[in-house]
Amino acid sequence: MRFSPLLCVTHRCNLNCVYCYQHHDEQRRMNFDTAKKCIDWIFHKIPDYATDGVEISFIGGEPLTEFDLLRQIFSYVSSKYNDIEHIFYATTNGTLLNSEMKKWFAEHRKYFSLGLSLDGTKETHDANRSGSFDSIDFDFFLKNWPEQGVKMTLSEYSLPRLAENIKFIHNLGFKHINGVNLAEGSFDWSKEEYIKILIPQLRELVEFYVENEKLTLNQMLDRKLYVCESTKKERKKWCGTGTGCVFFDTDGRRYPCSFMTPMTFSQDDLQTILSTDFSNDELFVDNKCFEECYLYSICPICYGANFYNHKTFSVRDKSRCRIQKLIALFVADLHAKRIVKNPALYDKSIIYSMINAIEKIRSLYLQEFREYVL
Amino acid sequence: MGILNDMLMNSLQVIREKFQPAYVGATSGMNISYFASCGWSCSGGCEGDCEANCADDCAGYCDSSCDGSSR
Repeated sequence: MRFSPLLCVTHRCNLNCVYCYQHHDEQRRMNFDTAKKCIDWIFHKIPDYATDGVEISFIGGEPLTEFDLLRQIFSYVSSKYNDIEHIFYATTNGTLLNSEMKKWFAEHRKYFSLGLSLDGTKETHDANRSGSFDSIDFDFFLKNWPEQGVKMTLSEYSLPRLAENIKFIHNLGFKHINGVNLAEGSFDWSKEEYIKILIPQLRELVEFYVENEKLTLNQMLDRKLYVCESTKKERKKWCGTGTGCVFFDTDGRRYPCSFMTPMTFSQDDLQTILSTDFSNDELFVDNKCFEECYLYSICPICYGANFYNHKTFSVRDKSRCRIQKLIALFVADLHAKRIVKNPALYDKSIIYSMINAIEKIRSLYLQEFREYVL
Repeated sequence: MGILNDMLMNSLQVIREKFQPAYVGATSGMNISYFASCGWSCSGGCEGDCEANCADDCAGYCDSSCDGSSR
């Protein structure tokens, strides 16, 4: 594993995406002196587990608005810490890449990866992300980082077009689609209308991924169902927020992760957050979910989102339970069809548990959605 | 045709027989580590068993800290 701290180099962003949760203060930028202090801290605090070195991730705002700073930091690290394995990563909307930047990133692509935010077709992407589709050079990303996934975020507009968008991105050549989660955006997932919207999309995606069995499942569907069959349950915090994760804001202050920052929370909330003992796992376990839910181990969670919604890290948003069950049903259907079609796709050590989990999910949740899915 | 229909489940049961663990009570015969995928971005902070399970579940941020599968 690598030690992967994040540096927020700017709060500024040239887009105004419909689902963005950040409060952008255009004036807040990291200067080089602050960046150097952050870098020095990072390379002197590498945890023991980080046997694969350091990955420094840049985040914003839009990090490429600070391209010169990124280059300065790259040079600083390369000269001062060249004896320690390290790479760089930045998430980007892809719209600011000019020829100079492309040349530099292409030259340094082995040490500096860019990850693109992409929501799907031009129609969807433009609706979500300030009409920026035509500003993106997809071939540049695919050519330089063919294994790098894109980040897809859902919106009210894109949800009814989910399957179309995912198929479009895969057809562009991107192998991995991250994001596609229920945490972002302003959805009230308890609304029944989303169940009705999502079902035909999930049905289409199952068909697509069964037909294209070599494709990696997008993040919404990539659930390791077999883990639900594990008899070993541990009460622990699974995300590294506040422990393994370090986020440096533009002023060099450290925060638990990229979500729990001044861009998202008030100073009062941050005071509470920063006084939390993140090493105390008990503060992060939702007892009801832990004790009662078969899907607990594969149910996506964000402790920052928990705090955002409930002012506590442990309580999960139960309004998503029903839709998570629905997704689990379709994931079960997908794996069932892939296994029957070609069992060799699966590691032999997991097939038995996977099939058990599929049966269990069917027995637990199919009846609840019978009117829609049968 | 509905999802997880009887014909599909019957086919699965036949396959499962071929992959049954060698000893009763093994559940799977494997060492499954328990985890929760974050489904959002856990921001470079994936810990523990994310390397095996969570690599693509972290919205593109922490996957590299796991196994680099999306790099």
